[in-house]
This record gives sequence, C-alpha cells and structure tokens, in this order.
Amino acid sequence: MQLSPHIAFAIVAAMTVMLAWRPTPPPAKFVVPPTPVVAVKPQFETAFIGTVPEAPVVHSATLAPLKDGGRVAVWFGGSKEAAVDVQLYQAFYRDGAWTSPKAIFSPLSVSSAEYRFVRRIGNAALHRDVRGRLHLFFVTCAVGGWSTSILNHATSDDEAATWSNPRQFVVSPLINLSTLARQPGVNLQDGGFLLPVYHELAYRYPEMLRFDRKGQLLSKVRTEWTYRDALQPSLVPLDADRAAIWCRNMGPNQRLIYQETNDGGRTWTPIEGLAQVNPDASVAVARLKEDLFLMCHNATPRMREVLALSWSKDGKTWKEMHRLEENTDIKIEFSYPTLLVEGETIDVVYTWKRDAIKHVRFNRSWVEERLP
Amino acid sequence: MSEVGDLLSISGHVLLVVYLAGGLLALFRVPLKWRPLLMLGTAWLGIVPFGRTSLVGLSRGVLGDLSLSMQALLLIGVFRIVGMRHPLLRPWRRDAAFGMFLVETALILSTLGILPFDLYGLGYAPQTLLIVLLATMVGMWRAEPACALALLAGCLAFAVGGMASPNLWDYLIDPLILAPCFLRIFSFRNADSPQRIAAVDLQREHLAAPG
Repeated sequence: MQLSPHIAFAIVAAMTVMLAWRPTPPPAKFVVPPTPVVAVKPQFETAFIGTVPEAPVVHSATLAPLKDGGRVAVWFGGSKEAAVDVQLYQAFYRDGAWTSPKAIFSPLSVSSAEYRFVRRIGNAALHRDVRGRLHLFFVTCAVGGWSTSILNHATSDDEAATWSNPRQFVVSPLINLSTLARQPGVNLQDGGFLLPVYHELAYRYPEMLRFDRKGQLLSKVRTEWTYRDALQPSLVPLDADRAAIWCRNMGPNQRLIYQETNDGGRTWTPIEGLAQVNPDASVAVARLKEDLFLMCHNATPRMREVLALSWSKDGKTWKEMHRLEENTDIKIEFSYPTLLVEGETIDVVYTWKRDAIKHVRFNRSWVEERLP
Repeated sequence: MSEVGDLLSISGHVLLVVYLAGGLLALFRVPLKWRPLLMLGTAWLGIVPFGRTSLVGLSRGVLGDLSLSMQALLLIGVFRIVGMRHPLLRPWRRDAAFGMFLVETALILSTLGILPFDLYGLGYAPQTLLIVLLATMVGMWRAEPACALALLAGCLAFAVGGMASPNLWDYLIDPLILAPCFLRIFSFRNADSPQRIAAVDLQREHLAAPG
C-alpha cells in the first residue's frame, strides 16, 4: 500500500508533536528560610564599597551570601548610567572589609561571548540556588533605552571567583526585548527558583521566571493585567504555596504596589495600592519572622533623598523605624536597595549619591530593639 | 543554549544578510549567474568582524534570534533570487501570510500589555498550542507545503531544544515575519498564478539555452 504524501506528512507531524510534548511542571513550592532564635547583642555598622577611577558613577547593587559567611556584591559603574563604558563590578565582603572592585562583564565581553552586538550593560540581580550555585542575571541593550533590555545569565560554581560565559535568555516574543531583573529570586523545594523580573516597554508589569534545578528556564508568568506602571518586584515567600511582591510604582498615585500568590506563583491577586508612599523608586522587602516584614525604601513622596527601613506585621501597613540616609536636597539620591537576610544578620546595599555603593549591616536584635 | 542553537541562530542572520544583499542585486538587475557568487561573498562579509562586532553579530544583537518560519521564508527568498524555481519555493499564499500576520500581531499586542491575556505564556507548556499547530500543519500541507514544512521544522527544533528559548512560539514566529507577510498580503501581483510560473520557467529555459 502506498502512503499518500498528505498522510505521510500527517504522521510525521503527529510524531514531531508527540516528541515536543511537555508536561506542565507541578506547582512551585517555596522554600521558607527558618527564623533563628539566637540572642545576640544589637549590631549596626556601615561601610562603603570601594570605587575605581574608571567608574565614578555607580548604581544598582545586588548582594548574595557566600558559603564562608562572606558576601559578594555586583553593581554597574562607568562615566554615567547607560554610557557605553559602563561595566559590571564585583567586590567581596570578608572579615569585616570589602575587597577592591573588579570588573566582571562589559558590553564588549558580553558581545564576544554571545556573538551578538551589545551596546550597554545595566541592572544585575544575584541569586544563590539551593545547590549553592550563584546565578548572576543582568540586562544589556543593543539599541534604545532600558526598556529594550535583554536578560543575560551567568553562573559561578566557585563562589564568584569566576563566572561562566553569559548566555542570553529568550523570554519575550518582541525580538526578546524588555525583560529586566532587579531583585534576587526565591528558592523552590524542587531545587529550582523563581526570579522576579519585569517588562518595561510601553506598559510596565511584573513577571516571574521559573527555573528548574539545573538553572534552565521553565516558564514565565505575568502577574498583572490592569495596572500599567508596576515594576521591579521584590519577592518574599510567605509559606510553601504563598508569596508576595512589592513593586515600584511609576504611576502618578505614588502608592507602593502589592500582590500575592496562593498557588506557587501561577496566579496572582490583583494589584493593591498600599497606603505606603513610593516615589517611583525600587524597594527591597524581607521577612524576618512570621509576622515581621522589613522594607528598605525611599520614604518620602518627593524623590529619593530619604532612604529608610520600615517594618510591618502583615506586609501592607508599614511604619518607619530608621532612616539610613536623609537629605533635604532632592537631587541627592539614595536608592536601589537590596536586602539580604541570612540567619541573624541583615545586609543592605544601596546607591549612595551615585558616587558609591554603601553597605549597612545590622542584626535581628537591632531591629527588635526598634520595634514598639 | 547549545552550540547547535547558536549556530542555528547565526545561520538565520547570515541568511538575512544574504537575502538583503540578494534583494539589492535583483533590484539592480545583476545577471542571475553572478548572484550566487556575490551572495556567498556577502555571507563571508557578514561574519567577518569589523570594529566591535560583525554584521551578523549586529543583526543578532538588534533583532534577536529568528524563528524557523522566518528562516524558511528567507531561504525561499534566497533560492528565488538565484533563479531556482520549485513549487515549494513559491511565495506563501495570501491567506497563510495573513494568518501569520494576525498571530504575530496578537503576540506583540499581548506582550506589550495591550491585550488582557498572555498569549506568549501558552508556549511554555504548550499542549494546547501543539494540538493547534498539528491541525494547522496538516490542514495547510496541500495548499501551502512550504509553510507547513517550516512549522514542522520549528516544532522539531523545539522538541530537541535547538534554540535558546523554552517557548514554542519563538521557534514558529517572530516579529520580523510581519514584513514579508505584510508585503505578501498587500501585494497586488499574484505571484502564484500559473501564468507567472510559466513565464518564469520560460525565462529560465531561455537563460539555460546554449549560445
């Protein structure tokens, strides 16, 4: 019996579709870090991370823990933001001091590694997965501004001593434009992690990238459909199934944006504008214990001249507890905080007047002391 | 992404550069016999670095990775520019081009946040999309075999993880495809007409005739 070409094609097509068939991954289960019960003396210290002459302007620091108790910070620096000489710099915090910064990625090095033109480099987000591998996500642009950014990914298995060649993630059908990362991810019980990212072209909305235990991208979920000015989500797990995000608000109402998921990040509640003000600035939120959230944020409706720590019981009603920086000149900027809570210690890194990256280290006891 | 994926992406942009160069050659009525050599030369020029990157690297940086459908269209275009004629190398039918145009437009509007649903998200665990794709491929095989084969190639590449994306859409379609689809939809010349094919064949025979 001779098979007609149509039937033969249908069989081949059906077999290809079967080969391409992928089951839907099971719902993500968040890893919720345990709350330590260690009574130690309140601690609060500050330090500046050194700068290099070729990068007088620095911005957008991210932080990750190291296995030896140290920290690694990555930020971008150059003659000015979005200039072609901007590179990603990295420094280590060990034994109470920061090492000299070292350039790790430049537009040229990314361009060579990925065999594609890269003009600018920008925001980075560090994340340590459950296996201890460090992931560095950072954005690059070939044309246009930050809203046309493309997400890149490099990994390190030797505590950030060396990084793999960066690879571009394809996460948008719009010639892969406009996926940016700012804050670290949250680990999942299956060994993967969920990375909060955002889209910025035309409308701004948060998204979640889900990775498997090998660091391979599994899926992307958009968290918002109606509000068009929410970006730079800070993701915090509440329990195995629940998590919340707090977002920068680029809209005119200047309210901190809040969303929650109850099914491992598959679906999200509608945007909620909290009473807490947000002057179009990045925020960082962490959970210290079941009914205690800590947020580092710009606390006035004007600009980014005040950077404060606030606390909340439910993540929605916030009370200011300490001002890390304060200035009356609204041109002065203290911004883009990243919070890292590990055990008893809490670290914050942030942009200090765009001249330096400042590191503040305190502990839970210091926070408890300031609570009513 | 694997090295194979990189190679697939780079070859797509080499095809784009070659196709654009071929378009210029056709525009200036360069004789058919010179075109393959000149287009090969353009391919070489495209991958030679100048300054910070090559022409292909620049194209890849700005346009991202091309879908298999787009690469198939470019391949058809390149073959036609060098004078090859075959039923598979005919320009896509208007209805196929219109379908592609509609789907890509919906994807873009959805991604920009203008449509209230995430069409692109369907491509991650794409059971529904695969069923629709199978029906589309089988349905269009008789009328538009080249398009069906391009979609099949995209599906196969997705099955083996041949590109950087884990999303099926990126293997099937990309925004660049809007340009040829738009031109095809609004082209008043019916490139598929038997008269035109006959005329082209006649021209070929004339070119191939000795002396």
